Amino acid sequence: MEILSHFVQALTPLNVLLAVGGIVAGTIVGALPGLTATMAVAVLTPLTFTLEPGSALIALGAIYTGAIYGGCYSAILVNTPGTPSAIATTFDGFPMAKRGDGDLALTLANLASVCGGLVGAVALLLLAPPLARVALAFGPVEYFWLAILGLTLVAALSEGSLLKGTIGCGFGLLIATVGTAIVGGDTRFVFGTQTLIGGVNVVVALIGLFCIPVLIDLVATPDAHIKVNAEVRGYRLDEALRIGWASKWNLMRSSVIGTVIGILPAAGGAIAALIAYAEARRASARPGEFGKGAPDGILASESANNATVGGGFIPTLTLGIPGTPADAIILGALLVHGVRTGPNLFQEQSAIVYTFMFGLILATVLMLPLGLVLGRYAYKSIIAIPKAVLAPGIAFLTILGTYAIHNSMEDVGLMLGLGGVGWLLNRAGVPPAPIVLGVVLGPIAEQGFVQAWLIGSATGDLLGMFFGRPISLLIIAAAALVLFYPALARRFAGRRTAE
Amino acid sequence: MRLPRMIKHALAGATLALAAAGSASAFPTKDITYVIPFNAGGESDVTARLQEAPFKKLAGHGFVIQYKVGAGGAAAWSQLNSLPADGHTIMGINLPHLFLQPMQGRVAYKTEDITVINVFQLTPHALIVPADSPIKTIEDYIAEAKKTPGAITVAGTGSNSANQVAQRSFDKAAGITTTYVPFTGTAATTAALLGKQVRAQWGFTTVAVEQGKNVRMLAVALDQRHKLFPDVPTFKEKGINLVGGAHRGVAVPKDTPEAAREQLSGIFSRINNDSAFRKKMEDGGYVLVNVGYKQVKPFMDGLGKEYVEIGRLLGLVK
Amino acid sequence: MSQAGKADRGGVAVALAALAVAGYVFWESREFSSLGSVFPRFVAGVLGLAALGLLIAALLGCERPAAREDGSGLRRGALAAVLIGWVALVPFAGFLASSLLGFFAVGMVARYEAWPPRRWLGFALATAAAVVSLYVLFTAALEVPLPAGALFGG
Repeated sequence: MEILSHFVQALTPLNVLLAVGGIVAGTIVGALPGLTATMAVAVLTPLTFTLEPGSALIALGAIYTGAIYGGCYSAILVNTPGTPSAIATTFDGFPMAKRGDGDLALTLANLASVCGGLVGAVALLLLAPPLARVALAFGPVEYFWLAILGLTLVAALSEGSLLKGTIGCGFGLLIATVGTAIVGGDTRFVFGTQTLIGGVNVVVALIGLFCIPVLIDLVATPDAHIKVNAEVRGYRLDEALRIGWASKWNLMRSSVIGTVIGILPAAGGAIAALIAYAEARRASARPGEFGKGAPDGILASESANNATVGGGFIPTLTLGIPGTPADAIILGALLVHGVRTGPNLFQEQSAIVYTFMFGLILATVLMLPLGLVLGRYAYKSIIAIPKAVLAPGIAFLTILGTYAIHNSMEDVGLMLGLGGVGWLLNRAGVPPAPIVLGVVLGPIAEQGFVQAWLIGSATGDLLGMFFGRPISLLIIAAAALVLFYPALARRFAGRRTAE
Repeated sequence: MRLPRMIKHALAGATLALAAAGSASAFPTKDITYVIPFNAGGESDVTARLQEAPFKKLAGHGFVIQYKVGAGGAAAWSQLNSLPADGHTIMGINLPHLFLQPMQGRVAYKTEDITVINVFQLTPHALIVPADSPIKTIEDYIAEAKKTPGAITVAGTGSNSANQVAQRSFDKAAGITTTYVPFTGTAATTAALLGKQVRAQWGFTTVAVEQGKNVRMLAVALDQRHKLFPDVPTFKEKGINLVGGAHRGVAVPKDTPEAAREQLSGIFSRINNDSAFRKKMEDGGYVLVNVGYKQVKPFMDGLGKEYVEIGRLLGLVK
Repeated sequence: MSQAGKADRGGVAVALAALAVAGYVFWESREFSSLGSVFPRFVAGVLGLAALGLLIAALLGCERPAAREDGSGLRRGALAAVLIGWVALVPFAGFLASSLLGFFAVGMVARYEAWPPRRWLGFALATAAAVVSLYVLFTAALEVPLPAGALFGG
């Protein structure tokens, strides 16, 4: 078996060491709000230039996987996604931590990340060429409907008032239009400033809207940041495994959603996790628990975002089209190494490609023990640090992380401003989650819509463009299900009890 | 607060001038901070990474690469002149961006604020279709567009960008109308072409190199045919005056001493002659150009005049 | 604590703000190209409708007011002031010095118990250690150019 020989090659001591180092470094960078997976890969790429291409790829893949995973730590413990991919993890992760189940939430996130990562990596290994076609079948109109599917989550995230949730989401969608438009080239809503011409970065909005309100409420009371149960319960691995096994369909579904959305060049981990979350909630027997600390929410989000790692490499390696921004950097690093990617990579450089794929699987498996230990450490630190140090620590990291996105103090000011507005809106009953949903999905919805409009008008078949394509129809059906399924299910349940 | 900094600059300039007079190898004295205004992994970034090895060989010091992404490069360029001007900070530049952005009027820099010291490469415009497209030649493309004006959809990266410049200039020269569909980034644009969401793509030769057999290039915007594509005609051969693409180079803060500018520019010119670097760039579809320190001003002035015309075509200049 | 039936003043404020935003979007988008204006206008339209709905619901008392948060409003205000001051100080004092001050000040806002001298010392050490170590991590390892001030370290 030729493939097995590649597996043995991937297992050299150096590669194992690189995978361990990459996971640890990636997880730490990913856990810091503001430092995204993309940035982790960008910063650590030059260190791999001295390595062989195969080993360098393993290190980069491990850093990337680790960073996507690490985002869950701050999402669960501080209610601030460490990377955009972990947005949906905050919905149930922080409520769990608040009620004293932070340790369980971290272990669940670890299991889900490993599971999703493995599904994505195995799909990359076995199904890359056929799956790459998915990336190509997705046109502007499919992206548009995908964004609409994501926006149906507003109903779930509104915490009681749908009207207020819709208003929050509208604010978010408008924030996403600020700056120079890709389509049309207009400069919109910049209020004469320079800062806003580049738009409002998603991470700036995330940190402001999620983290600043947490910080403001943290200092307002002397209570502990999160509840801690007196007895020491270790990793709670047995409990987590039991929950994971009971939710195996949720895990599988979310991993597959993550893999497929990871393949799409214009989507990413954040969207994958949001869509998987919406689907998990729809399919759940107890949708009412979502948003209040449902383990299924964490499982869906974390398995989907780690599945995008393997999924994103599919178009990157088979088509030379990066599936995510981090993949683009890895592609650039490969060019510097003298490896030509694109359609011929598999034939010409199969040794490197297979070494990399097995390396990615290896790194994902290593993430299980490493992540558990790192997560435990993060949890213990958060509960051990007294409030007078925790609050300034979080504040300092927010400022530092926001600055590091574009090396810009204006972004820090913008982050604080959004945080203040977010806190006020939250006080009035508009939670931050729908706003962020709008910020994340706005660009895809707008560009998909306008591009589809342009193409549909040019071909003279606007209606067929929006409603006549099979994948679009599937997504529309899914969106309709998410919206109307709860009502229908109640109807049916009501009739059954009546009979 | 301003004064000490100015004195510092003056001192730095004096030491540099002395150093330059003494021996050429005394500058740079430390690693050069190379600010890239675009995302890591893009053309500017890859070029800088490939330049680092020969730069180290020639100058004895490497790069510290920093990214300052935002507003299509404007976030970085509008701050160029406030960066330390001791010759150890340089910034990547991209044309036509430097011409077109100030025309749109909302960015905080003007083209003449940017002190370009060297322009070293070009990615020529290329009109690309999927390999199995019924459009086989540039004549087919023009005929198809004339049959039903506006029915050909052609993808490109961004609005008022190099790709849209190519689309507008070509359509005007050929007397046709096509529908330009802007996407975010080359990845999404190329995916749209390969997935046949659009009929054609305005891109660069680099896209054709990456996609190999999956795509067909109808023509390139060069004076002579591209080495890697001896069978692809130039637009000129087909009677359409479209020569150009996106140029890349480096600029320095405006207070950078003359001696340092000249030395840095010289190093970048010599990097272009490094055979290993040349091969890697040319294999990737890049065209190396040599616009050294002395030629930069006439080069920029010439291009600037062309882009005033193009700005009119795009409706940016009234 | 709010009782059922009490007017949702927050809701009214949000609705009015949303109407203002929607109006502004329509006003500014007059100058956009048709490609650039269709999406913001559509969103502003939906936003305006939702705002009208909320306004009516809130005035009729159908909308449940958000639960009031407990805790000290004074400390919340102090935190906001400290954060703004921290960021405003950076251009003058540089990132390191303003962060040392800002870190210390936020710690004061979050301090609830009286401290013996030993804890003060510990806190001062923790401030210095946290700020300096992260500063070094970002500037040296991650190559983030943190701003220097006009007064120090220019």
